[in-house]
Amino acid sequence: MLTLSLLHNHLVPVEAECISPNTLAGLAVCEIERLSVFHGNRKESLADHFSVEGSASDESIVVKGDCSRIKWLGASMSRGTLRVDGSAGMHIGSRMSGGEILVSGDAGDWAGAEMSGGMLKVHGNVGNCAGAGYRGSVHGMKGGTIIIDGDAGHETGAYLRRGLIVVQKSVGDFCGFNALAGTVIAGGRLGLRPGAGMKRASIVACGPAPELLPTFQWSGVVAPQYIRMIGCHLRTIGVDGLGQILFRRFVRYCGDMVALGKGEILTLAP
Amino acid sequence: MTLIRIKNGTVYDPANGRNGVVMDLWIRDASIVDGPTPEELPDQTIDASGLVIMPGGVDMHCHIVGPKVNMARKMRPEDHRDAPPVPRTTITRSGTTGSVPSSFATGYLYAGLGYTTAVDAAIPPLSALHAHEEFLDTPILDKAFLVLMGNNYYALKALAEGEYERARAFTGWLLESSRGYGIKVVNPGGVEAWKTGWDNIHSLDEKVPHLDCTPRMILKGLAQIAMDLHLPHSVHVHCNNLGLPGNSATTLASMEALEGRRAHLTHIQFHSYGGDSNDQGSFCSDVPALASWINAHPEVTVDVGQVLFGPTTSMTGDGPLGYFLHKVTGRKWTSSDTELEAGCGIVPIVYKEKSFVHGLQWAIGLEWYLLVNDPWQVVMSTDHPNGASFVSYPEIIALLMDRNYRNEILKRVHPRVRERCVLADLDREYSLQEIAIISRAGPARILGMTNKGHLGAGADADITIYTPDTDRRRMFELPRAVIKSGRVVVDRGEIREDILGRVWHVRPGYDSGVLPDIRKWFDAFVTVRFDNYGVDKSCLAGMGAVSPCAPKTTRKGSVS
Repeated sequence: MLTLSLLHNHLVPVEAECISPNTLAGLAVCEIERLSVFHGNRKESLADHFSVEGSASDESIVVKGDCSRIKWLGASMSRGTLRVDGSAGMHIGSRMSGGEILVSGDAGDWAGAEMSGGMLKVHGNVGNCAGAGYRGSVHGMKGGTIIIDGDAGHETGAYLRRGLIVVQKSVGDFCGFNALAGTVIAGGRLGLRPGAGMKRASIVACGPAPELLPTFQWSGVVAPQYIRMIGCHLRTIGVDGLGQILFRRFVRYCGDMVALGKGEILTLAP
Repeated sequence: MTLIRIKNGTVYDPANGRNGVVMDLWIRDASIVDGPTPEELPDQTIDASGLVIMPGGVDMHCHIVGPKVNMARKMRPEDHRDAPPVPRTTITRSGTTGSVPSSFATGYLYAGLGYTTAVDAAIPPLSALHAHEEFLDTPILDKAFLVLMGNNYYALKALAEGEYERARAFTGWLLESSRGYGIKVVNPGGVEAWKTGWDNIHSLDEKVPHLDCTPRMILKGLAQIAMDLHLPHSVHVHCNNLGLPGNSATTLASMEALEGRRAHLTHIQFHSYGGDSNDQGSFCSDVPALASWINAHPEVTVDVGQVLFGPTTSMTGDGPLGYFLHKVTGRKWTSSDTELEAGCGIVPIVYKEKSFVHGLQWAIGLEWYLLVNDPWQVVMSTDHPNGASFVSYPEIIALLMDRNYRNEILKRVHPRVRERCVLADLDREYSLQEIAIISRAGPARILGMTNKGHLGAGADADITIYTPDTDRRRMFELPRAVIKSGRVVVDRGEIREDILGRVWHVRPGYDSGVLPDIRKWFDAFVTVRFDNYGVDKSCLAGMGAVSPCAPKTTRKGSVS
């Protein structure tokens, strides 16, 4: 296991795409220390910001310290494990296609943005645009799972194409904006205009019934089998509370009728 | 006065009849000169033994500056994100690449390919100042732009009212005030019709709503004006019905409507489709018929607008075409109306190898190169970035010089493509001399840039040196060195010097008696005051260069 310990807290963010099992596995400590990162607009070495111990030959990395100003941790990783003992900055797990990232604190904006596989678990809150598509992209998250134990910000799952996003507490505005497919499950309150512009995709509101756009139509009370299967899956990975709720009945609203209208928002049936 | 000798290079200089001649070239300051007296020694000698030397490349039809390019940059962040950036060095500025590179990166990328001159083919005169300011941020290249006129309300109105002299004087004034290089016609009349809420125009004799004017009148009128003003470049025409099956009939009608006048038909690939406009399944190539017409009419030239597979951005002054592409692709779309002058549409597009339509477009482009007998009449272009980025030019060269490679790709595309075109039957392979014609000598001659595209005494010292390689794509992707205005700006792919090229424009003169009428027009209808319109000389920051307007002698000796 490779341990990277943050040497000092930053005001200016550090961009450290190199902190990923794909890059670090097989490198000696001295090679890892020489890897370049950007501190603002200055190119510096990883050793300027982290102490490095151990080996990543088992594709397991632990990052210690308050990394809320360290960006791009685990970006584009496809295998291995990255554990952050503390908070993580923006773009953690961005475009990852495999492996597992665990964050014990909070994560910044764009967590798991455009990811296509693997698992991202955040014990605290995440910023805006978790699992979303970057500006201009046709698709957001295309596969994999994001589990957030706390709150998520605005535009969670925007342009979602496939995959599962579970937020145990509240979600900000425009959840699932322009989503094409995939599922977002919110354990708490949903913000304004959930599902705006969605073509397909499912948003499951397990908390208070959200205020829906007028372009969503009531279409019955349902207990979909796929939601129950997700519930079973969540229980197997330790998300028991939400997993249980998914076995209840839901009121289904289909929309967004300004787009294709084949998406749905499910709210807990009274 | 610096004297440089390029020693023992194998020179391909078609304009001066040099076809692989091993010789020395001499540069004094920024120009090529005859060899000096034996007593005079060069300040620098570049040993080009075994290397191929050509004039610097000339891209006569691209979109690199102006509002449409900037809008495309803004609306496509994903395009820049996935493309390698140009890093800042002690010499160069940083930039983004992709299908629409940032301004500094555009200059560096062109220079890195051995191109030293580029002409933006569609600038609304109202945006001329913007274009010139952006030229000043596009390094190394010599540049120019063509002024959009085929839907200019004032010009159309004058032509509709039969006031040819007024239209001619207005054109002369517009070119001078915008500091443009030539006249561009885009979908004549069609953009104006669509902008005012009517359908696009689909035939040459359909009248533009509100105006007693047809595409035929616009084409003939502006082609004649370009000749009467003795502009260095003929009228530059984007025909009606771009991209529609069956549009070859419109293209042929447009060619014949010119009635022997000089003209350049641009991105001809997009205008060479047979079939029924209501039936995509009937889509086929009509290049043989159109190319045989071109072969019989030396006064008309074409550039191809080659499609290559991959993602790019469509940007066009043809507003209704932009809307059509948006409906076909479902992708995001920008439409813009430049008051009384032009339109614009921008849509991202991906050309897919397995798509029948895209495969046929690719094949049709190649047919044009291979079916036009005289390479001086056909110019290599991708209509950057519409068919592909200009960085794909080496790929086109490889396709033209190696029929086996061409046939390999042809086997990979949709099987129906082979049934709907004659590409598989064409064995022609281009020589290095012919590549030099279609990529530098030909476009320079068609543009009327007498000091470009050749290596004779008096020419600008814009030179590209290549390392010969049987892999033609590799050879043209990475020149050994590029010399611009007598200075080595690229060495083995590295930018060595960041210089600013000149901005070419024309001053054809005009009857100043037209000015009160134009001023009245501005006061009545235009949001910009007459005195604030146009580009002051100071905006060119001393980089302006005037291309002379004089009667042309064609290669066959006639005067136009």
